[in-house]
Amino acid sequence: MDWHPFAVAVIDGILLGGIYAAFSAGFSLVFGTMRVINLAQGELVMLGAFSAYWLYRVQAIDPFYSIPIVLGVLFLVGFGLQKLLINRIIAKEPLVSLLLTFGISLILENLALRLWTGDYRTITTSYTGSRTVVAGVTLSNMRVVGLGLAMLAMVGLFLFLTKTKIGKAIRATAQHPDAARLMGIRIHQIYALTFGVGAALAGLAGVLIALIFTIQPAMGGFYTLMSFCVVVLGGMGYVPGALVGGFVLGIIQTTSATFLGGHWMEFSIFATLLLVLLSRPAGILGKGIVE
Amino acid sequence: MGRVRCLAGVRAILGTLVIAVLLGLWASAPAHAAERDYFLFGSALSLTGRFSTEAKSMMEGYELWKWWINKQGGIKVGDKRYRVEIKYYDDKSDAATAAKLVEKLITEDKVDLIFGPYTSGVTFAASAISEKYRTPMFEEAGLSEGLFDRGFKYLFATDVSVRLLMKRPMEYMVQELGVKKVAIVARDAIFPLAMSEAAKEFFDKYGAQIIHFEKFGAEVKDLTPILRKVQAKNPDMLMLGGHLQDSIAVQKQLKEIGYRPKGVFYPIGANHPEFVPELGKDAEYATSFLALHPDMYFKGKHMDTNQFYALVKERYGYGLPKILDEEISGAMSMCLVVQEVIETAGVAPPFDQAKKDKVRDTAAKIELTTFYGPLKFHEKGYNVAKEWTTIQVQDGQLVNVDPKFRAPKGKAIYPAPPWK
Repeated sequence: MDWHPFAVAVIDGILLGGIYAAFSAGFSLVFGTMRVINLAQGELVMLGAFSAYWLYRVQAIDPFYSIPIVLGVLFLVGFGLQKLLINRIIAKEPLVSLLLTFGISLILENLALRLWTGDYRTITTSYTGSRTVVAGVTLSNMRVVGLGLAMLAMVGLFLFLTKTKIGKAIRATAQHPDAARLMGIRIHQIYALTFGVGAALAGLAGVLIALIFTIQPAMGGFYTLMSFCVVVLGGMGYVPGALVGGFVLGIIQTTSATFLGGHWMEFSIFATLLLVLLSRPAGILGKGIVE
Repeated sequence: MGRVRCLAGVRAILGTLVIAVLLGLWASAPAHAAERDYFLFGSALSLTGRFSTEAKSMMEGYELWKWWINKQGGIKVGDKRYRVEIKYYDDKSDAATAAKLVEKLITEDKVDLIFGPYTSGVTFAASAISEKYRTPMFEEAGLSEGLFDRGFKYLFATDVSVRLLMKRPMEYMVQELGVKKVAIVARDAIFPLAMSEAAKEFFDKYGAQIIHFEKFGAEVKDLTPILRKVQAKNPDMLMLGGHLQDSIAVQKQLKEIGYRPKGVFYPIGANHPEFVPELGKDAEYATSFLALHPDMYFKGKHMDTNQFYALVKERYGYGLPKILDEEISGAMSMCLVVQEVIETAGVAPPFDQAKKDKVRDTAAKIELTTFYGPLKFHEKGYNVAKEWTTIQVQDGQLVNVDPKFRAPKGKAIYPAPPWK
């Protein structure tokens, strides 16, 4: 059976969207909880990608086995950044946090350049590039697994936020920091935990990206930009919206490339972003934060 | 009392003026380089930022020549030898910064000549400044046609322009491999697009048909939808006009969709040292081109190709494939051209405008063979004599498959077998 190119493009878009959702969920969580636009999100993705890369290259640890290590390392990095730096400016003007996270992104990028040079790298294992043919459409196993992991992470995050005490504390802090503090929640500790979780999610996406694309110390800017697009589409600060935003972005990208041509991909993404910002500033689902 | 005060004031002003004049004279002393008895060249290179890997390799090429020529006492002008110094600044992979730094090199550091930066985009901005100050710039990494269509008189590229770069590989593919239908996918950026347009021109000239030509934007990472369209048209050859990250990603994405064209050509791919190690077995059968390959031999005026390899090994300890790095060999070859031009012109340092003009006029007429290949400048400033050879990854090795360049054993595996 020959699938219509549109159906194939939508499937490709959903698979790509899973990766977008993975690295954008943390961005959305951090914004939703403390109103910080984390311009270093892409650099956290980069750190996750390089962690998996070096664990594979130096210790021969399979990227999937390295996921718990990468999650742990990135959680600590995120927790540390928030505790040491971002907590100090959390009550200040939004511009201050933008400048601070931009500074962090520059430091992380240049540190990575110094440590690992500007060479392009990728993880190639015996199974990268493996594929399955489903009803005539060839699908990448890596992307299917990537989508599965991204969904799992989103469900895990949802359960964490709704079912655990810490998750409820995060939500309470997001809704009303002063009230949360009066209830005995140590909000700066919660902020650090939240940033740690956001960084861990970026790390997970980094592992998938290292398996599918190329990685390089200067890669972060692109992923920060894409995170921003995804959360605007899904709703700023509304974590499940990252999944919707990721899928929409992925599908726009693949369908525009299929029917309009490769040079229309970026235009289509930013035109959609503009339309959503103008018509539905709270995101496609209407549940994002609008201030 | 008032007169005393007035005199004291005049004295203070005069004193300040004298000090200012002395300071000015002192500050201008280095610029007053009439006594300099060594050559001073300058380069704005991308030592940090996205082009840093390639630019650092270029710097290795410049430094290799400096080390080699200084071991012999320097560049020979008449009966005397003059040592060589090269001043570097970091342009941070930014064209505007490179332009400012080239201005500083010319006006403050008073360098004799400018050595080129990395990439066509950066060279575009930097060469506009060297042209403004009528200081020759020799370069080997800015090869887009647009650089040479500006009527500049002081810009010399020691490698062929992008257009000519693509001529021989396309001729080889059509005439030797029998490629008839071609798909070209190109990144919408100066250099990749210039390569792709040139490839289109020469494929067409030699009789192949372009059945798909598509551009993609600068921030696109996933080319799967475009590759599926190419797959549906089933060309003999897919050419990707992109950067190294695109080539690595496309090789992976072709495997993901289970599509192996009969041939796939990456102008920037297997010719870079990262391609094969990063992709491992997935790099197999990818084709690319190289300025130098162990199968190629040039009896250069200053050294032959084998002597160049030995020199790289001695200085940096590099073996294959790093020894073939086109940035190192291209930069070293460029420096040999500079040396030849200066020796022929017979101009000793430091250069005033008359000497710079003499260098320019000599360069325009020079014909030379280096270890890298032949050189003759087109009136627009690029080399018209050099050709690159086509290579293919076979068992992890870069095999020279173009018989024009002495490849007795190398034969292209075409069509490439399907993915396992």
